Amino acid sequence: MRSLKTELIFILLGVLISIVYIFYPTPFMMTLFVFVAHPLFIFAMISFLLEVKKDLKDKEVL
Amino acid sequence: MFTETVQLVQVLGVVLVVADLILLLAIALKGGKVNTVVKRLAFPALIVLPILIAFLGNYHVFETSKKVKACMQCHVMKPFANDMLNDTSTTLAARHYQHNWIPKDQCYGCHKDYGLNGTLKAKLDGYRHLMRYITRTYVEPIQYRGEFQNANCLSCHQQTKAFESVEMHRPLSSQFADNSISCMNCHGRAHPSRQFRTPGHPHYKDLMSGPASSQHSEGNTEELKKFVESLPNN
Repeated sequence: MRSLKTELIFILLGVLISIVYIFYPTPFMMTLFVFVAHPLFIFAMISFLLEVKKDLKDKEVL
Repeated sequence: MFTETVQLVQVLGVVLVVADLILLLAIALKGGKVNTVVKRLAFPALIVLPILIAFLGNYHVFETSKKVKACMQCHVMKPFANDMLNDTSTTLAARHYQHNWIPKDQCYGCHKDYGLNGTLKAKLDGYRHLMRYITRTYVEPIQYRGEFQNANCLSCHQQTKAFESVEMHRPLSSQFADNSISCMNCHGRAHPSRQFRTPGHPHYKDLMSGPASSQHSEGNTEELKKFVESLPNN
């Protein structure tokens, strides 16, 4: 399995945007949460799951 | 109740975010090596906790966006909200607010079309408004896109004694249902007129500065009379 650096950074950014939005629900933060944090989460999760699938295939589990 | 829910969301948010940050840090400290420990930490750090945080954030979006305070945060909505909070105003929104006819979430109460479609449409419209606001691609005074549904009024008023006792309502029931006649045709403006909300208009400054300094009485009897007289007779 390759390094998960990109996924970590994306999730970190998404999480930070989310917590700032929860405390300061301004229009700007809501936009960041809806249109930036969500794609970051989705990209990181899909990328991680694909990597897990690849890893399991390499080990002939799948 | 609202404050309690928001506080609960905030506390839960902090707990989940701190937990996720600890896991992310633990993975990062392994310096890019993916061993069994990292694999075990990665699933909660990259999947479970982010899903919970996103769910919490979305719940916060849905809950806070119903509040009048949330609507007031946008510059373009200030004239509407300030007018509603102004106890000298006689617009429909102000009368509903001042008399507590809608006990909470007053903007949402009238502007969310009923049913699941209504809720979804309100949310999609909200995102569109958000993008227009953030990208500054709007022109003041803003205009209502689409058609205000009488069903939003009727869902509270229909079948009440006050509504049924007005004889004029009876022959118009089909027109109310198909929106060919608006409740506002007889009951006056819901919000300040576009003219009042235009930058540069003498009342614009009052509407923007808050209910305490609002001296105008949009929708006063004379204006209402003029408005009703200006309506076509058919």
